[in-house]
Amino acid sequence: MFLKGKIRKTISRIILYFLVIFIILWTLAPFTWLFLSGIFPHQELLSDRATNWFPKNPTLKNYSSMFNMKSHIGQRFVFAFRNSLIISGSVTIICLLFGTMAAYALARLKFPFKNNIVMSLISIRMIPTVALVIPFFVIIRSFDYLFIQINSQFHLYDTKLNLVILYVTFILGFVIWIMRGFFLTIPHELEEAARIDGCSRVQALIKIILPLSAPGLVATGIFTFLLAWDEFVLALVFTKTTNSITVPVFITSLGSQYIHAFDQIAASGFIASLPPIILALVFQKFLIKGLTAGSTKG
Amino acid sequence: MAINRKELSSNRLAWVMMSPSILIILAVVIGPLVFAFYLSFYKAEPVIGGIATKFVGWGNYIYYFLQDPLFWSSVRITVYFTFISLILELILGIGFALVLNKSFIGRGFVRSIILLPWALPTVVNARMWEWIYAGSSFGALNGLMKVLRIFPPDYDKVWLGFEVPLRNIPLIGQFMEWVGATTALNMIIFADTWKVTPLVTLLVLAALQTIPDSYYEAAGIDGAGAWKQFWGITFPLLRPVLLVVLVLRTMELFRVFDIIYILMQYSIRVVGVYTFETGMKFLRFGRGSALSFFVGLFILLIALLYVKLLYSEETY
Amino acid sequence: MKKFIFGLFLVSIFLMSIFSAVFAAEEINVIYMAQAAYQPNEIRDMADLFEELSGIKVNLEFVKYDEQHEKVVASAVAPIPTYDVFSLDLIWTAEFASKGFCEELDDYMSPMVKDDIAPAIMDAFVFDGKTWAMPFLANFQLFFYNLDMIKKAGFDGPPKTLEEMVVQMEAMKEKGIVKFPWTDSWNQKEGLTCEYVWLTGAFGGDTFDEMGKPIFNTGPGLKALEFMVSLLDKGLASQKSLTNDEPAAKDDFIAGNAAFTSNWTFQYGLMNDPSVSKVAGAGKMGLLPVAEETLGMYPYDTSSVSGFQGAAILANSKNKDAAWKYIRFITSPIVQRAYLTEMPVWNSVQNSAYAKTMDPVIEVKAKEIASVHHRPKVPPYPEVSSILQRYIHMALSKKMEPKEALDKAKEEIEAVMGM
Repeated sequence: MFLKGKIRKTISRIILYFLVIFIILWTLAPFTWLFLSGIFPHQELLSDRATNWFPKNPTLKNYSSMFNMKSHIGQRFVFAFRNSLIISGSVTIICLLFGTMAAYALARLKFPFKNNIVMSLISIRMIPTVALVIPFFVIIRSFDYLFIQINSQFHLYDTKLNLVILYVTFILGFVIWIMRGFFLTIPHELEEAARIDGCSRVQALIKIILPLSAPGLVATGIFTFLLAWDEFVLALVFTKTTNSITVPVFITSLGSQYIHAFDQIAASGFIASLPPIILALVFQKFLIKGLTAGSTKG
Repeated sequence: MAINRKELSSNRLAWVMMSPSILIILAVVIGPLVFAFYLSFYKAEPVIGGIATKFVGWGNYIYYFLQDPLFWSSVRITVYFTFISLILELILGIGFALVLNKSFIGRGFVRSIILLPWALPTVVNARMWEWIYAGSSFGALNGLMKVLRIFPPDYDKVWLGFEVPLRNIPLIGQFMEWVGATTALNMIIFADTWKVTPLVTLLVLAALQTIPDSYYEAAGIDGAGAWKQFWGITFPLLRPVLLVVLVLRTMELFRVFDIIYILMQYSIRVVGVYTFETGMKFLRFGRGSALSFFVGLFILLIALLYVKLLYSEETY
Repeated sequence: MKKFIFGLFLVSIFLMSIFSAVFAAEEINVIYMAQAAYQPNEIRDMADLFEELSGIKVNLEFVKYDEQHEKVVASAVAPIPTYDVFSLDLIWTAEFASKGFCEELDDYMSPMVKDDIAPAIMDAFVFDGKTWAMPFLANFQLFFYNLDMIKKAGFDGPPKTLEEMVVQMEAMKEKGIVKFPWTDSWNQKEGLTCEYVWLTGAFGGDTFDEMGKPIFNTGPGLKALEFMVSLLDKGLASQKSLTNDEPAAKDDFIAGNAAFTSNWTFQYGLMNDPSVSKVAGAGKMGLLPVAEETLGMYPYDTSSVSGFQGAAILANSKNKDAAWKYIRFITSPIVQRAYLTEMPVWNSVQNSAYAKTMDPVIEVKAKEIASVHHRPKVPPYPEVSSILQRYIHMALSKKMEPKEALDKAKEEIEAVMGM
């Protein structure tokens, strides 16, 4: 009897480690392949994979050329990287700022039509982005036309500001919905206590609620950053020069119709995935706590 | 120290706090939304410097509902994509979470890396899998199959191909054909699932953390095996989280565009791709708008369904 | 008094010249498809020289073929144009012209210009009697064959007819020389329509008649599709072709996995480059074979499909004159002589001794380009092509019989064209 139990336990441990190794391979294998593809010289790219997992002449040229400001590709990549960082960062800050305020109102304050507003906010994300591309484009170009008429240098098309505005609009509803969930999990008593001590609602928000929902803020922030970093369709239509191109647009533009530049795509793709990954790794503790608290209260 | 600081009434404060958000959303999205909705009742085409319109009333909507050969096949394939992806994501996500919930050497490390696929931008993910699935000898998947001796050395499978999978199995094969599934689509489902599973894993893992060990101990004493423990304890307590996952993921999956467009351009017509093709390639702005609102309606209905289920679970 | 007036005159001239110098800092925006032909850095070189000579600043943007169409449309629809000059695929001529996106160029082109370009090339950009783009790149398909494999199979040279080619392929397959002798870009994209058009030409006809009505579901069009299906059925073409785009087909050929293919001019250079090609030396370029029954119908017994690009001006551009200067420069015979890897559009360049020395195969190319068939020139071309691609692909994937597929395609196309 005793032995049977021990054997069972050992078997289940073995299965467990087997599964763990599976998870590790599952997660890391494609990544490793991505990185390796980036160190293949272009000539060796099409060699038989069964025998050539590692290039005979590995080169870091693909990676270094992405940062070589003298080459056209390097220039475009560095600018795209910079633009993406600025855009995603701004979107995250703005969404967290405005979204948290609105979420607080929806979670704590009493006023009519509360539920309808919540529903409409998430509904925005239900329309496929592609549907709004042409209307957006026409409207924005019309604005630019107006600006030119009144002799202003200001324009919207092909700017980072344009993308920031568009992204904030699409992601804001999402942020509000999640942050509202977090706020709902925080007991009213804590706030009541603070207010009895003389704090106004806003002070209570800043001093009590925000610190408590820090995990939620971090989680939502990372999520927002990722959504903005990732976005493809709107960026494709509204960017033109290095003024505003983003990383997804850059990667799509690699190669030509007749050359599949997988080595370049892999190298730039790998680099492009680093900021979100670094963010995620740094904040992963908060991430777990954050996501769950918000979600269980919908 | 009483609450005698003058502060805005509940209503006023609420509107002050919400106004920036509402202003932004109204100003930016409502205009185009209304414009798109307006266009959907017209036959609209681009001409130099603007759009030429001709009123057709419900014509566009009727066209898609009754006449268009592609609309319903597009809906079918999108539903297939959504449904299968969801199942895979749930199974893998819950499975991984269960494993990560146990203690083992290196658990911290594994928990850190589990997030990596999710952090990869969609465009990069699509290109990477395109490269892995390449249907020649330089494709990594083909190479792997050969190394594992599953494929003979000179056989290269075209992974992103159009054969109907499992077509020889009686009922399943017919279902696959009806739905429009292809090997390519299944491989793309796998690629997308790989990227998204970490999200599910994390949510489930966090929820698992809140279940006290004592529940399982008690069940163990009562003689319940692992399987029973899962269905009896774990699953019911996970339901709120699972429903959230369902809502989030269904919305995103139904609207899928990026990965399918990058890999297959227009040859797999999920509704997102079909809308893009109609509006941007064929330049039928009226029809494109109508299609989008149709899709939006679908998603809204599904979301309402989920929300009804979700809020009834509030008791947890 | 006279002195004063004279002084005033001088000052005004001075001011006007400064004024016009300020305005002479014109700028044009160009969007170019980075596909075959000139690579971005070559276009940049041309633009730099043009800027230096004319003082007009040139802003270049490069996009993939797939994105070019959408971006040009978006630019045309807006009240202010995003671009002035764009590279136009000839299949968009009817569409853009009928919507008024392009500027008419007949007045800009001098008679000398019009005389020096072959009608077949110029014609691609004519719609409704007017010219809408300046011929820029003469891209077309050619025949590529692996001479070593042909010899190994026991034949002397490349096939002159499609039937002969099938015989050669069957011998190769039987002798185990190559598993799938035929490769091509048959994935469900524009390339498929191109392949279908040259094959229909090879069987002696066209996909649409001169009135712009679809006739592809009978006669040559039907035979062409049946031929494609037969290649798959006999195992002479692999299933992989159904997912190939043009680079993938090129890869198949230069890796030595196929003996025959039809592809655009870009394959020639890559095929002979030993650093990427395994068939450098064995791979040759020639005229596409026609069906036996079509011999004698065409002057050179070959059929091809046009993939020309033109340079066009957006009708809402504010800098049309500057745009035309740029176009005239980059399409000029002098520039085209410098880049003879691309087929020049000018007769004078094609026939020059210089070109013949620099490009030994130019005579083959000249014959092929004179035998091109065009894709249907109808305004709703994107939709028409999409329908054709869908049904042809279904027939190739054995989901439908060729005749049924083409009949259904014709029905849908007629509905789209309002017939």
